[in-house]
Amino acid sequence: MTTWDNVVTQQVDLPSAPAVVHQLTALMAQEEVGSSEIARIVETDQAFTARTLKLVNSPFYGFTRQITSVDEAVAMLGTGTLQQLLLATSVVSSLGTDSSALPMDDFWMHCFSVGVIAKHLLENQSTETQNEAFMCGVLHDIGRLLFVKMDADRYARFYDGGSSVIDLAKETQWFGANHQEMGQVLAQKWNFPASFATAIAYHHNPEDAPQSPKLVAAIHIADISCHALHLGRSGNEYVSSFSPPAWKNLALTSQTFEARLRRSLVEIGETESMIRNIR
Amino acid sequence: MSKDVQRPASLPAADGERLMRCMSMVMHHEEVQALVEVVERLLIEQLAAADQSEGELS
Repeated sequence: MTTWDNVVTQQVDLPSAPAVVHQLTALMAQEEVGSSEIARIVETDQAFTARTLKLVNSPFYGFTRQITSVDEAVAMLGTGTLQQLLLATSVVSSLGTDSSALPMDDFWMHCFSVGVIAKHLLENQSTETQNEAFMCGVLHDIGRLLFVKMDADRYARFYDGGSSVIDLAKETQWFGANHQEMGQVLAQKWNFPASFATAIAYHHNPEDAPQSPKLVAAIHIADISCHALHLGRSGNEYVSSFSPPAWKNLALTSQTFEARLRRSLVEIGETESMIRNIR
Repeated sequence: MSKDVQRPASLPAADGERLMRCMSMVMHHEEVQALVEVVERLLIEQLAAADQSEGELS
């Protein structure tokens, strides 16, 4: 067990993944997933069913008619997209806090924006990879939520104390582990795919990632772009440096990057309504 | 290695300050210069659009 595993398990009562998350992650590991299997999982939980329908009927998807059943939602969105969204929904509802130390609307706005930009940065990749990028973006900062759960006052003092630029070493000093390590432990405990844990664990130092280099690079570039463009807020006031190896890894021209970022901004404008519906 | 962020003359001082706070705290490597310029350009556009819609409301 690593040092930060110990820190996390000793200091934080890590929330258990809801049963539905376990079932969905198990399904995601399979190659072929049937729409009826997903619908069956969702329908076992009434609150989850209601949230799913609210989400699918939000202006984000812009369906002209009301979707009234989970089966219909699966048919309209496709199994992959719905699977990822359901996972995001369950994580948001399980890990959200009411603490003023980390206002949730701003926080999820940041995370979802990172997801949208990361997805567009990889839009020449498979749909599966793009879905994965979206989900990793949504989840990349879950370690911060654990800091708040651990000690919200301490978290507030940490950011009030002028820690406006990301400083992983200082986080370790204050909390015993940095938010990447915290998030990684949670991702592993909740049996997320290995690529998710890697993206969470290396989004500030993508050049060190042992696997999924393109995915981690996309999360890194998307995260910093969101900070720069004030898309939501996750704690830091100032913008960190882009990693040159990550930029190189994406192999994009500045024209392509700009076009994808512009498309992302349009989609992010619509995402706000989804975030209000997902909580 | 580093890049000095200049406040565009077209931006009001408060927005210019926000832009500089965003972009000038960190050292930018030459390799990511193009990337930084794109993000800066979009931020300037967003700030200008926000100012315009505020002006229309008032």
